[in-house]
Amino acid sequence: MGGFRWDPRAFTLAKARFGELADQGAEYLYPMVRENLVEWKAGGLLDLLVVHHKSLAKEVAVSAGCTPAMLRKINQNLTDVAGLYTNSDNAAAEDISKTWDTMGYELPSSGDPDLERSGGMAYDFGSGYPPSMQPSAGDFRIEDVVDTILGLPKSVVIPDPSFKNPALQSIWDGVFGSWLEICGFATEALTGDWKGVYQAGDAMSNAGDYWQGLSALSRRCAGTLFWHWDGDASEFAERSVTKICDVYEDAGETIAHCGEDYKTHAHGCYLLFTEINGILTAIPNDMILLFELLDRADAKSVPTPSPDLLAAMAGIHRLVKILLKGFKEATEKLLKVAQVIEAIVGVVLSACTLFTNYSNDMRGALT
Amino acid sequence: MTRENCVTSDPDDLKRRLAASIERAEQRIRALDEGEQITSVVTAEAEAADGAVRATVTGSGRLHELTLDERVRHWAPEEIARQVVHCVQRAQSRLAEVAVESLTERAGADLPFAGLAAERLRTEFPSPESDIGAEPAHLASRRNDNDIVVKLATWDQDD
Repeated sequence: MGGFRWDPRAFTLAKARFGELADQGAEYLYPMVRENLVEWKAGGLLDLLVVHHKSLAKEVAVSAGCTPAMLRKINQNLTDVAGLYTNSDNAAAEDISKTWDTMGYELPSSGDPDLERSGGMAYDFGSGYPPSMQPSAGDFRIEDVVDTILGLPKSVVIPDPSFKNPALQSIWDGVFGSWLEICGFATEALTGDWKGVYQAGDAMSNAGDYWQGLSALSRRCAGTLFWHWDGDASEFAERSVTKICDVYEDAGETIAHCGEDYKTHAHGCYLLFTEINGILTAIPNDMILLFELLDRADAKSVPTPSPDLLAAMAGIHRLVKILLKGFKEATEKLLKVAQVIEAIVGVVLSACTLFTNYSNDMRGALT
Repeated sequence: MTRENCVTSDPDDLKRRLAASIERAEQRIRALDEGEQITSVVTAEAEAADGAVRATVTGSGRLHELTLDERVRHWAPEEIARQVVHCVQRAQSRLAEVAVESLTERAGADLPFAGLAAERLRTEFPSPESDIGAEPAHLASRRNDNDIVVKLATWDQDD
């Protein structure tokens, strides 16, 4: 805060660096967010999450779209300030607030963000780019297990017999009806883009890494810039640029946390699906065995009583109980999947509130 | 139905239906458990020759208790044998009725199993062809010290 100092070369180099970062960000961040967050279709039980997810995705997309725009706005401001100083008889006395767009922020009226600490005296404005990874669907194949479960009703041939004994027929109808019901539940619940849950989470993690990386690189560039631009007037710009770096940092941290939760919950769903698959895969064999027992009992129940009927009854009784327990367990696991999805909603709601603020902050760059 | 062509339903409604299905399965499992317990401990009693011969049979039809009162001392062996056989058959033939009553009263649900149990008991233990004795009744209280009580087996849990 000593005297006035302005180095046009530093302005040129800083603008070039911010421009590079903006170009790379425009090429990577928004398309990655749009493809993996905004365009995710959900479906089935995932629809418990979809409304909240869409709200968050919209805010993240706004922030992603505004991210390079903010850097370009800084460059525009630097150009305007350079023009003002160049055309002035006393550059030290110029008030840059006439040209420096605040980008919609309520800037702190006092305090020095001390961005210089992030840079250096030399003309080193930093190099390289923030990480720009494409999201993966995880190292587990959730879609395979979902497809297996959804294919079960078609892949398993279970007889639909007609027994002479109405009591036996009624037992079979009850069990067969339960099988059809659980198949219907599974189809309804698991319809949807489950692979996309992890992928959306990974996209969030990537966006988080990108924003945090961009914050560090922007800070470095701005730090060096403010080594070469000092005085009361530059304080205004410094606070503004600091705010931008902070928004990148905070947005990155928030969305990275949310992304980790998505991925963890996606893995939880995968584990539950594996268990459901195990239960449902075992059921058809038991049903075929039940059919055989009922068929044998049916043959023995008419026209003459058989001493073996009692043993057959005990077997039928036990097998029906095993099957009912299997149906119940599979249904409980489906309900558990719903609870896992709902647990993500809480995380999304909290991230959405924060991102509404970030995207509001970043929107200022578009005005 | 595949993931591509399935119509998306209301997930909250699906959750409710899943919860209802779990509840139904629990009820059916409970009913089966109770039914199993009831059919294993059900007994039926009958008497013949105006109460001179009384028999109790278990759910599997096995004779559990046989009581002969003082009057049989004056009977011919053939008559004792005939009345005992008849009394046991009467008790066995009541098993289906008693089992269904117990199942429907206490277990409440899963009538196919109750029906099947009843049918099994009816087919295995049909009514005796002739009706020699008196009506069945609860007989234990009518027993006196001079009665001959034969307990033929330890408690039989059927299965």
